[in-house]
Amino acid sequence: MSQFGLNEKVAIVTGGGGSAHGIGSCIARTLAGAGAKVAVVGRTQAPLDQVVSDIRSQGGEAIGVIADVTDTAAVKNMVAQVKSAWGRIDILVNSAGGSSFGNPEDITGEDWSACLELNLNGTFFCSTAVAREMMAQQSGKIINIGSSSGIKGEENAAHYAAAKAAIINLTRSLATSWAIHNIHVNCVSPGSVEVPDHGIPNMPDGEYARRKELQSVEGAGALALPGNPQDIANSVVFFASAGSDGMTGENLVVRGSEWASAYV
Amino acid sequence: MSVFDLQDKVAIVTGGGSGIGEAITMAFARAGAHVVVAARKQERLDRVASEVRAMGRESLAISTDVTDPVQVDRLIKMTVEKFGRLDIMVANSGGGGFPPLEKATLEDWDQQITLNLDSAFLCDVAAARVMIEQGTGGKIINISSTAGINLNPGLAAYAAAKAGMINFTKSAALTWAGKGINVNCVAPGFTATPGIRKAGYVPSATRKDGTTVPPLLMPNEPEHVADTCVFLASEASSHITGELMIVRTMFHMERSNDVLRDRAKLTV
Repeated sequence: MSQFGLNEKVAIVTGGGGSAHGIGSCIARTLAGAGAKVAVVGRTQAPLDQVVSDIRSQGGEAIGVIADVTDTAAVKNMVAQVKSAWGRIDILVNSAGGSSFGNPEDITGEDWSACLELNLNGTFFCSTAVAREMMAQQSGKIINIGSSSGIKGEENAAHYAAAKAAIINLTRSLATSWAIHNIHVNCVSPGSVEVPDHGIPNMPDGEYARRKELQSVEGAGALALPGNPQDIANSVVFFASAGSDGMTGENLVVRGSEWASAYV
Repeated sequence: MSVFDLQDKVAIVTGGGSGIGEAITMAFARAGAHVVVAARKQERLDRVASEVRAMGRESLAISTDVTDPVQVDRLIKMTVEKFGRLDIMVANSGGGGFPPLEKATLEDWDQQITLNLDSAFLCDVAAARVMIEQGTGGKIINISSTAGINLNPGLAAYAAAKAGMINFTKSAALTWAGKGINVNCVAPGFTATPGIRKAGYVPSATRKDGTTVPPLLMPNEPEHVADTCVFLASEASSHITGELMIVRTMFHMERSNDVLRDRAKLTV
């Protein structure tokens, strides 16, 4: 078995329904393809059912779990359901996230709070609930999904960028705190990703086209184009596998050559 | 065939005769690559090359001083003559050593910068020329060190060279992105290589009180660094370039715990 295989591992993927991003569902399918049993977590039943049935039709093992990651009682219930299905949790991928889009001065208090709750609180609640199980096992891999926005800032998604920056920093604190329990905590930060609804939900069509044009310098090749969900999922498999046993607290940015920013 | 495989890829690993370089070489071979090992000591290279061949992969052991442009060109030429191509370059050669800073001369400084930074420049550029000519892209991996990020009062020149390598990686990545070449950097923390072990620097996994040190509080194993290199050499990382992957456990925490315990004993 390769260092990057996940046979017999039990994984939870939040935001795995993938109705919004396409990243979470791709991660769930890819982990299953690497041999993991996957609990696909989301708020609505239909997209979860789709991902679960996709995985099963490929010969994988999966269950769908309805949970709102911003609700601690729902998160507790999520952990209980996965434990009762498979008895343990080896991998948690905090992929639930998303944002509205607009000028910073137009972001309402409600928008701000909802964004922080979904992206940051959800990651924190799921990590702490699952880590308790991992502590009992004295092993585990937690992978947070950050964003290059969390490093470079984000034009017209300031709340999202702030939440993602916080996730990158939270990754370090959790890694330091839980190293003694042999729990690895790392972060994968996508740059622009080509997904059905543009990556940042509610981004106007014209805005996405403009960004894509800015990136696509003639002859620049595939690295200059937006990535795809599979690129992100492959990095998640790396951090979920034994291949990353020497790494914790790190943030891996997956953005091709999309480096045009004052802040790296 | 998984996206982490390196089946039939052709790789060069400098400093491949021992330590982390040897571990990278063996991990590449396990993943299916043919590996050319380069370093100054032929005897060590021959041993590693024969281990690669024993795994059914091909290998060349080419004695090379990677600070000499002529010898680096020769290394690349011999590789391409044998295999017809080059897919992966790992610039891993290097080493630390420096007198107390106030006693250091320009010669001391130059020696460290040449060994640790010039070598990466020479290997990266020579490899990129071939990769550009092939038109199929390639993967370049520079092996830096956490010394290039942390404060290192004892190894100022080594640390500066390794920091230079991290930034050079980014420039090279953007320069060659259009050619499909991914250039990334791996910075290992304190790693339990056979040499480091032999020197007695690796603490026991059992503490004085009989408890076991959690694996994440032990030093890196060379294989941890090697597995990260396999990832960066594979298709799984095709959208990653210019990045730094730091491979370090939380070993420093266990060490400071030891210090705290010893201090506590002293005060009792």
